[in-house]
Amino acid sequence: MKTPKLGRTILYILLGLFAVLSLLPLWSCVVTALKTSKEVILTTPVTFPLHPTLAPLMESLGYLKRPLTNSLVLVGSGIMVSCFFGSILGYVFSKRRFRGSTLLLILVILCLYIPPQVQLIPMVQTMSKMGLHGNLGSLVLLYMIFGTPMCTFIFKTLYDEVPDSFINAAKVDGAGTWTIYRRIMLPLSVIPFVVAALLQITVIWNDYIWGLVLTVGKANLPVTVAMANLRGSFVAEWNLQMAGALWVALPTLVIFIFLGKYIMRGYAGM
Amino acid sequence: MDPKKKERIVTALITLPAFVSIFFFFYCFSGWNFFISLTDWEGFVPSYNLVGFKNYVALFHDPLFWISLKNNLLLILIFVPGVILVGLILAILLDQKVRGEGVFRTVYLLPFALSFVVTAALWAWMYSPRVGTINVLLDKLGLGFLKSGWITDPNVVMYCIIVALVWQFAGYSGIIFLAGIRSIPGSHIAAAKVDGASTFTLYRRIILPQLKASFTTAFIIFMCFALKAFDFIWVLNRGGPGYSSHILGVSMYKETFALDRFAYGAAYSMIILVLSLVVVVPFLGRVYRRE
Amino acid sequence: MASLTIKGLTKRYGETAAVESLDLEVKDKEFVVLVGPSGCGKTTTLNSIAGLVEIDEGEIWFGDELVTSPERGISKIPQEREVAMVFQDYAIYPHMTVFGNIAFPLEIRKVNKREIEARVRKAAQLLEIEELLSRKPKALSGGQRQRIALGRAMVRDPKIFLLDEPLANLDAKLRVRARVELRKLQQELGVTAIFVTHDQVEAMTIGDRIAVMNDGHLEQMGTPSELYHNPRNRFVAGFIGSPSMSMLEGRLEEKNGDLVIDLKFCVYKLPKKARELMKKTTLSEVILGIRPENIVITKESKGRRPEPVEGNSFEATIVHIELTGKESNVHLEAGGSPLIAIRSSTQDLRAGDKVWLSFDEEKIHVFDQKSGKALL
Repeated sequence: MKTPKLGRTILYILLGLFAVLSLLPLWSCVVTALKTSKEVILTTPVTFPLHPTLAPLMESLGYLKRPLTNSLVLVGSGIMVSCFFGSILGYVFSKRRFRGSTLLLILVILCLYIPPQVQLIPMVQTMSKMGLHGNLGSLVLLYMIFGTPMCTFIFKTLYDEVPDSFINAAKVDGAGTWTIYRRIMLPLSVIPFVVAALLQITVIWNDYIWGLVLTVGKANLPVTVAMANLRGSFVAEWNLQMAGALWVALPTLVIFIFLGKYIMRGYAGM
Repeated sequence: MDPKKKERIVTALITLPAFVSIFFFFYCFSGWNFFISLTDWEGFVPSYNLVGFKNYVALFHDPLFWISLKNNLLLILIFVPGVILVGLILAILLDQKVRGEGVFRTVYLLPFALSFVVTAALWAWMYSPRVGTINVLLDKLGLGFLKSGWITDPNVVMYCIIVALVWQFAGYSGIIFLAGIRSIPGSHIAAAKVDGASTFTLYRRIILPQLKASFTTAFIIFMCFALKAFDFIWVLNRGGPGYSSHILGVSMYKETFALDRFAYGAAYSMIILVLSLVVVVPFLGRVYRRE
Repeated sequence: MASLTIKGLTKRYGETAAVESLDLEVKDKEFVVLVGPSGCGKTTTLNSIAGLVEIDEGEIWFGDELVTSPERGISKIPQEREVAMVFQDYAIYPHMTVFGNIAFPLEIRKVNKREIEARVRKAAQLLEIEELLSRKPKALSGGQRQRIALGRAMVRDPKIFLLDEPLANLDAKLRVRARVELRKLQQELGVTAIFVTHDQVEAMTIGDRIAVMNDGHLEQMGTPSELYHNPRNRFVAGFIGSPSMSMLEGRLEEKNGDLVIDLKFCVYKLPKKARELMKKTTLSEVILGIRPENIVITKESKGRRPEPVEGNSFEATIVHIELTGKESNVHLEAGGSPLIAIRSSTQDLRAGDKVWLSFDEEKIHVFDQKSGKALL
């Protein structure tokens, strides 16, 4: 039959077209990052360089070394508290409801939609008063708290899939709220923790505005802010800028490529 | 102690730190920001003299505010429907029992993995008038007449930004709708097929109507983004050329941190907050009823 | 003493009452079944006994101890109630071994390790799942999981066992076996058991006494025999017994000194002793009920009324015959009303045949049409 065959061909053409569109800017970035400055001007931005060089990557790494470390620290410390808080709140909202818990749940979820602009000034003031303004500590504290609503949502959604009979059985067997959490829900939380952690890593690593506002001085910048500064300082050196962009993009790209199914689990539920 | 009471205390204790910090960093801050917007604070030293709604009145007389609002409107009217439409198309395509569906899905989602600063760098390169990818390719394809100043041209810059943002979010939009399509019970689809529905009819009469929840989710997420966006535009070209790509988030940042007009900036923020709440609050009623 | 007394239990969800003014008494070591259609309130009742739901009115006593009384502000949390419960999906924790699952309630109570070991092994032995103890539940069958759930319930030596449709997820043949084993277990352990099911056959075969519930109310409580032979109302009569009792609507009248029911296609004369029992009634719209095994089918031969047929017989048409093994269910229709009869041999009968039906006089039931109450 002709029509289905034709339909399938068009389908794959469309899919391929969208794939090319998705990858084009990234591809252009990669090839440009591998070119010498001369080649950048002489060749088309989508062709692979004749003489690929790692120089731009190494040079940009020089500028980004400290910021990369900073971002790693931020990611490592930020996910712990927010995942833990999210797990507990998710448990209570899912399995240990009480009067008014739905209202509280809505207030927590609402936080996801509160624009950061209203928090900018108060946050700067608070961090100054705590003596944390300008250094990484302020960002660590921020990510710990700001990540909690999203983690709460992820945990609640995944905890809802645990049958209520598990909780009832544990109650009848004598387990109280904390014991149920510790011995029943927590051991069943591997997937939610992975999903929440990965999403948090992505959000923290990719953040810009808070890094911009709360850190001062070259040594304290997260990698996104440092890389954005490259744009200002090296306007015409596209290979350097693309190389810097690659360093920033690499970790999250790797996560999305190899752990994509967990990411999708987290985002699709929202 | 009464065991029931003990259970309540345990619950309160384990949730208290989280609730308190959320309450402080989100709700207290919002109130605090509102308070600041009612003061005359300019410059480094905080000043808490209340001046009523003077800042808001000034905002409404500020041409920059209106330019920013207009640009946000462009985002709302073009970016939001655009990204929803593209996402829906991607989802429908991916739902067709595609070989290598996982690969395609991952590829479409990759732009969403990127930080806005990376996206800004990528698209600054794409849009660069002299050596950037788009113009060079247009030349090579003999379509040189389509070339443009892109983000250096004040008339076109917002549209360039919208395209770049659709690129960034299309995959994400796609998986929202794909999840929605996949959550429709297989028996509904099978019944429709047995009744003789063509693929087109199947999507139009059975699947699309059941995607209301996905539409709502996507709508809220992208609307709120359209209102609070900052990172991408700021890193791209600081809201330029001139003021042509200023949006509320950009103007707010500039007033506050470049010009030190904190109370004024706070007023900007409150406008963004109110607009966001208008979008979100009706939806929350549904969450409440569902629980 | 592990007896259970429920007085006036009422639980409302919004406007509707899931359970309304329920009175129930379970004796020590008794096996009581709560049975009824979906939504009748049996699971709500069970959960109230366990303390998993808060009730609006009523009292629940375990022996001499008052465990629930909203009027007096008493409501013991489930953790302290000394009951054991088996759930329909068994609630076996996937991240613990079988041993861990069964040991769980003891671990919570901080029983020492050696004693836990001993008690778990004893329970596993009794349930014949000893070789499964070190395994994880993932690959185990429904029947095995059910026994693990029972093991977890038993290991605390509770006085009262609550079982919420524990056999519903087993396939038919296994279910029959499991019923017998469960009953044996209960008797061996000497515990009081309350068993919830929607399957009336299961209820009849497993319970000492059965409580039939409907729409939040207790319709009747009694031994299987009492419920079967003396149903107190139309619902119980129709619910208990398979195939169900046939119900024929008619008018109760006096005729020539006899009490009769006018069924339109037949005027049925009630036996003499019915007169005494029903003399007091002034009601007239009634339902005549008769169980399948008490209907006699006689094939007419050559258009004549065959002998011997009692006076109270009438014509009916066979609609359908179901062969169920030793006997057959014969579906009939008379004057527009359906009837079901049981007969051991149906070789002489075919669908469409016209036959004569008569009833065993001793086994007739009469119900009031409006209230459903049994008059005879």
